[in-house]
Amino acid sequence: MYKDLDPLIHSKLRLTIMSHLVKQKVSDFKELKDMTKANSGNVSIQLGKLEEAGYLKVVKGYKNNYQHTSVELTDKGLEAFETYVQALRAYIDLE
Amino acid sequence: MESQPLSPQESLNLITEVITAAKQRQEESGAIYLYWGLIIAAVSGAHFVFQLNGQYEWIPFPYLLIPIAAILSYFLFPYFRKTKVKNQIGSIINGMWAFSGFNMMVMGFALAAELGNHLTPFILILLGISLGISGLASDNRVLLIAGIIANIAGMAGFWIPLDYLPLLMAGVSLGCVMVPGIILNSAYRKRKHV
Repeated sequence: MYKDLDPLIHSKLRLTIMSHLVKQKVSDFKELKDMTKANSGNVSIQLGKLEEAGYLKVVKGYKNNYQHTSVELTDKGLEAFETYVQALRAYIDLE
Repeated sequence: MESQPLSPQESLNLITEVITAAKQRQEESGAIYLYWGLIIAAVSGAHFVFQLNGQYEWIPFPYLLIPIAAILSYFLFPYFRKTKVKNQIGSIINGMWAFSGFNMMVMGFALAAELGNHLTPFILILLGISLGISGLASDNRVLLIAGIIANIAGMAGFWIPLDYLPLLMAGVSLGCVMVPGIILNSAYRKRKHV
């Protein structure tokens, strides 16, 4: 439908995650889950897609003896987000 | 939250909403809650002590601290003069506190005789609503819970004897305003050190 908009970013959950990371730079799985109010499985799937595209770096490890997954926006992800916003602006100007 | 497609305008709105909420959380130091929690608790505590000792003529004096504190807060907290985060959420929260603060002052200083025993419960309910909405708007659970407790305390205040209402006000100020301020401040310091 909106062919210039990166389909990887142009979905509600992935866009929320990307927007949050643009501001925060680094986050973790729990924060993203709380912030999006989505279930763990869905957040995990969307993070996987964004990671596969090279937009995010997901690091699984331990923090205070608990499993901890940190999520960081990559330069490629930031660039893709900026391109996405530019494309959005163009669409909105056309409307 | 579904992974569904959006219109460009919806996307832009979503981006703005998420980024401003993140900024709001990052910049909330909790200092204003600490400040007001402490002042209201001190004023109400002084009221209770004077009442307990039968020094009724002294009771109005601590309340003079409130307008002075309101003026001081304007200079102490640049947040209200020059909002760091210019966004709709921040404007709504600031506007709501300005309205509720004004109403609390008018109720406390001009309508105290008319409201009588109901003054403290009404102020607490107004405080609870303001705290709760601040919590909801900034997605902050601490403020939301504090708002719910203050609201319930306000309603309970209608059944509490008049003599103990200043104590209720002091307790709510400490528990629902100052304690969230401490928690927010601790989280803010942690964020600044990361």
